[in-house]
Amino acid sequence: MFEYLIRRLVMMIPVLLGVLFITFLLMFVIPGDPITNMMGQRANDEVIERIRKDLHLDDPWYIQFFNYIGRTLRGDLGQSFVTHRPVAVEILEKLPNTARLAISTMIVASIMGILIGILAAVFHNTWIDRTVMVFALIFISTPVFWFGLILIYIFSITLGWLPISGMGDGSIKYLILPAITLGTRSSAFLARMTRSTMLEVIRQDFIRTARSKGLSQKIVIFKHALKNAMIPIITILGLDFASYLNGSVLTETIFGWPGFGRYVVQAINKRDFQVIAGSVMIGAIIFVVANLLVDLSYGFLDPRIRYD
Amino acid sequence: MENTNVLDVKMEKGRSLWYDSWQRLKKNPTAMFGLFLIIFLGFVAIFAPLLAPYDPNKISLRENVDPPSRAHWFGTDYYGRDILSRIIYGSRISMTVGFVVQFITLVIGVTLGAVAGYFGGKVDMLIMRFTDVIMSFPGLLLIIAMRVALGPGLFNVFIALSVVGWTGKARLVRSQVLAIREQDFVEAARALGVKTHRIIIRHILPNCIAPMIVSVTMGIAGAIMSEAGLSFLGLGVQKPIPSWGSIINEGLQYIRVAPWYTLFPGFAIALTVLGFNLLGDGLRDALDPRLKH
Repeated sequence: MFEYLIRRLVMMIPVLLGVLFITFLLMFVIPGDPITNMMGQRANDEVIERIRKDLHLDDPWYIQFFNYIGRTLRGDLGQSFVTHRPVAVEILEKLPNTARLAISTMIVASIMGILIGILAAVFHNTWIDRTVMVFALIFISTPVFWFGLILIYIFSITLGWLPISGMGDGSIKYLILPAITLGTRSSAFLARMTRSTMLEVIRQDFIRTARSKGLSQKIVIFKHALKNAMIPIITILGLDFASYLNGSVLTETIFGWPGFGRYVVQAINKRDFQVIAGSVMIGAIIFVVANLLVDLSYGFLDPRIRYD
Repeated sequence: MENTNVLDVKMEKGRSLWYDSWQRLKKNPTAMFGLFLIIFLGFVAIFAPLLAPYDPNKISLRENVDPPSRAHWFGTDYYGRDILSRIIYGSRISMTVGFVVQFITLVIGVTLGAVAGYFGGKVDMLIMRFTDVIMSFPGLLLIIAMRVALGPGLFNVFIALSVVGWTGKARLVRSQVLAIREQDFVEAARALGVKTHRIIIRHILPNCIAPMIVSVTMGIAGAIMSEAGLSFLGLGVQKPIPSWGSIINEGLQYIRVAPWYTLFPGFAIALTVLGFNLLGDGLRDALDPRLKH
């Protein structure tokens, strides 16, 4: 296990270098001069030249890339053109809010998705199965930002039950709509995956044995079948958790949620490229780490899996 | 003398994979509904100038944010423009983005996947590590960053979506090629001295068509959804060209007084994406019945 972990960590290095290279490349192709972007149009040529030298922007690209790697390893993602604060600090301030939303979303998605998937599998080829699967596909096809607006219109504007936006005092009522918005699409994917995995498991001999022993349907499904269907479900859940960063860009914008996604959108509106590039890189690192954690979790879920 | 050479055996007419698949697809009502939606929306996109009741960019400030009426079935927007006409014209952007991006990602994905799978070794390692790098980005974030870096315009939307979208296809083609290249008919072609690129194009790639069709159909849905997200964030096509995501964005501030402003374009996106997803699901079942549950 330890050896596998080390091997995976070593394998992550070229991928992370590639990620750094692409974010570096993005900074290179951005329109306009980076110093002018940073200082505004009013800075005079002399100041611009001095800063260019100070930041080593007149070095060849490969030297600049190595400097960029060095800065990133020290946790320096540059400064926001707008607030002039370190991007890494600003992202760290926003991430806990997004993590809170992501955890709530995961709870919504896993409860809804797994239960609906099981329901469809148990009633396989009946009208329940077909209806549930059509609805799952409808939710997969619904844009997350539009679904959020519909929920706001129904539950906040028309019924007045839940707040429209923001985090307010941090109470749970502010979390409900954003978590449902982000979680519904995810739960639809999960329901489809749970259904097909459960169908495979239910057909196996050990389930027939469990049934022939006279065990109740509830025990057979939840204790025997679900346990064995967990690996693909956890894979989807784990990767979805990281992909909530994607969804958070749109969901946090709709709900004015002060997290990572809204931070990126505000940076887009102000063309604050340092923030965009830094956020993309952090997003990729979270993705890579989530992937690793999902792979490591297989061993805990299924003791037969060995990391040799 | 009796003719003994004539065998009284009825030969069953050979049926191709495509014929069988089409027969299976025809029996799937949800897939056929998806196909109907796509044909309908394609028709709307092609004949937009004939179908739209108004010029989508015609401003009429006297009629701004009017509710749905006989004159304007889906109401009007902030500038008094007819929302139905804007949605009809918006279908052109969505369909174009969906198909063009899938074409580009198909070319990149199939080429890189086939080369990686066929040659193996270092070439495979390099291509696959590059695929891993692109796949390790949260897609929408990278698309946003690329679109901001490249600047405005539909062409840059194509590029941003394509750079992120080819990876799944490359992996799929590679795995198919790995499975196929060891088979006897490929070995035979090699022994006959057929050139490598010809083996890949004529013998290996035709065997990857079925999973690719499913991937492209689903991919169109994904591209349309991503374009809608980009437009919603103000990163899609430039105004005043109508696109569904940007109409929703404009309607955002009127949601209290004019919910129809955001409602109808959202329906258009959902229906289109649903059409491609339903067809994609149906095609998967039809082309590979073993996968069906």
